[in-house]
Amino acid sequence: MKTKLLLPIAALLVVSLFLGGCATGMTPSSWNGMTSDADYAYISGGPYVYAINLETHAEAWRFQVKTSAFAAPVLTGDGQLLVGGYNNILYSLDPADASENWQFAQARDRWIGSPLVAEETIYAPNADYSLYALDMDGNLLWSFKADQSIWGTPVTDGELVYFGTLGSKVYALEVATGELAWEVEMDGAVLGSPVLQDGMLYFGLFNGALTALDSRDGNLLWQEALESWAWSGPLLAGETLYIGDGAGNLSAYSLRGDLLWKQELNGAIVGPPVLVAGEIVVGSDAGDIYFVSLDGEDVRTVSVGGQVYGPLQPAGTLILVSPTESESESLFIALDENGAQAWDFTPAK
Amino acid sequence: MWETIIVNPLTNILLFIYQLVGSQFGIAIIIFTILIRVVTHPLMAKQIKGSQAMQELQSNKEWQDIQKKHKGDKEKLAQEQMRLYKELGINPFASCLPTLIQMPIIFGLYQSIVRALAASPAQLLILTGAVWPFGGLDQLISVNSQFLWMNLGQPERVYMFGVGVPVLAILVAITTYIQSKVTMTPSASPNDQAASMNKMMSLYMPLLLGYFAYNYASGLAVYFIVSNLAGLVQYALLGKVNWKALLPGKKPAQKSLARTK
Repeated sequence: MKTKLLLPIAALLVVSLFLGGCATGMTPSSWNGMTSDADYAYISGGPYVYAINLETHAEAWRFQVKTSAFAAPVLTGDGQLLVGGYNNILYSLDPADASENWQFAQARDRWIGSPLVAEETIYAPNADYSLYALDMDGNLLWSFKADQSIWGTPVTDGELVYFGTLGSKVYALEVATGELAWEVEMDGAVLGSPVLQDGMLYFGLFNGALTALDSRDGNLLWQEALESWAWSGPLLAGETLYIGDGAGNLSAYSLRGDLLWKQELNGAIVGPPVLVAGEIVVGSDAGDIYFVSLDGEDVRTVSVGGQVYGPLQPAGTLILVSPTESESESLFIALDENGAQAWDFTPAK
Repeated sequence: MWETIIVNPLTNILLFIYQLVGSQFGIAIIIFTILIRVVTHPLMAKQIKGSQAMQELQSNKEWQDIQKKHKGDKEKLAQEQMRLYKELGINPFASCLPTLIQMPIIFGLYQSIVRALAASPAQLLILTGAVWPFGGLDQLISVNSQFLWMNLGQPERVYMFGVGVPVLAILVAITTYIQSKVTMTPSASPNDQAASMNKMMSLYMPLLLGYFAYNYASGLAVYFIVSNLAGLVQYALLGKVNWKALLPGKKPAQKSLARTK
């Protein structure tokens, strides 16, 4: 090769590497999403969705999603496993062997939030600002274009379906037609899923608030400030709402919005709390799992390493945790109810 | 260090502009790119001037004689070169130093656009750590990525008869080619390495940037296009645009460098 060509080639290579390196920041990524039934755990872990036998701890199958999938898969009552990919495709798989039932490919952006399945209808939120309603064969029933991306799983009371957007709006749509029943503007983006009970909708807001709306008309009933952003929606257990924030606080509120207690934990809390064996369990980006009594008095800490962003997945007596940037190559760790590591799963290369 | 000094401040400035222009991220990218081009214009002007002086030196009779005379003596050749630089008032670093200063800003701008778009949860989490907690910017971290027909966080396609046409990627390639072609400094010497590098870059950069625009978020494509057009305007303001270079078979005119003393 002529030496005079070396300099331009080197320069081009440097520019390519730099732009390519920067652009990989554009390659979407997230933390793993999980679901489980009595026998298997299903994990969206980037390029593959895995099914892991909870008894033998062996991989039953893996399904390749071109680009990646991170939203927690959803098991339906009629035996489907729904998987939303970052390739804009929603897949229906047979959970037994990962054979494909159908694909829904009309969305224009990623599936970041998991779909809701209710009354033979799939309500699938997409980052293309749309909520898609599908029948159980993947046929589009209706779609509704919101103001911004939808990252959280919707909820429904059978008449209306409710969801929030990154554009700080909350919508209620008629389940049968997708027509807008009401919409309200909030003070902050809604990233997570709402909780619905007795005509009340509870949301965590990204501007740092826990808020309650009347599900009939969207009227604001109360709003309480948190110390930092709320990424996920609250957990409702009994008559109490539990919510984590970016400053590492786990707070408990009454359904009227009274602060019952607050525990300062270590590291930002991204995933929603879960209820396991009478304790509130939550992970933090400091790599800790906290087991907190319902009255907030007792706190046990288990360190799993890495950062715990995704939701914890209860599976029988186990809690499945999938830490990010962990030193271990495990896809997830199974903790027993005492917080001790029961086993972990590392996928074969 | 790079994040703290370059990318995070630029990300916050970009979000501040986004706030000013009524949550239109496409407009914010356009204004931000032009703003950076304006701020770095004096550096670019110096670079162009220095680069042209170096190019013109190649056709300088005295320099050609010196090269012939001291062909086998590199030390003497270097001494004579430095003497000639001094006599002609050329600063050998005038072409590369401004570029070196501009490059971190330009790459930082590119990265800040990527960062502010935050199109996935992990990217949004990174952005939350980068946004300054004042001026209401922390409330803007989920930007509205819709602009004209584009979702700025996604690769752009215009669907015609069921086929996705990457209009922006094509525009990126065309504007990059035009910019590099009409702003290329002419060279008289066939052995001029810088000229051959420019020629090669003018062919490959459009393909490279077009490839990135095709595969990555259209917010980057908007940045590439605006940056190319702003660059053309800058060169035009300095009187350094040679539109004839776009015509096939046309060679740009070569000026000879006159002694300044």
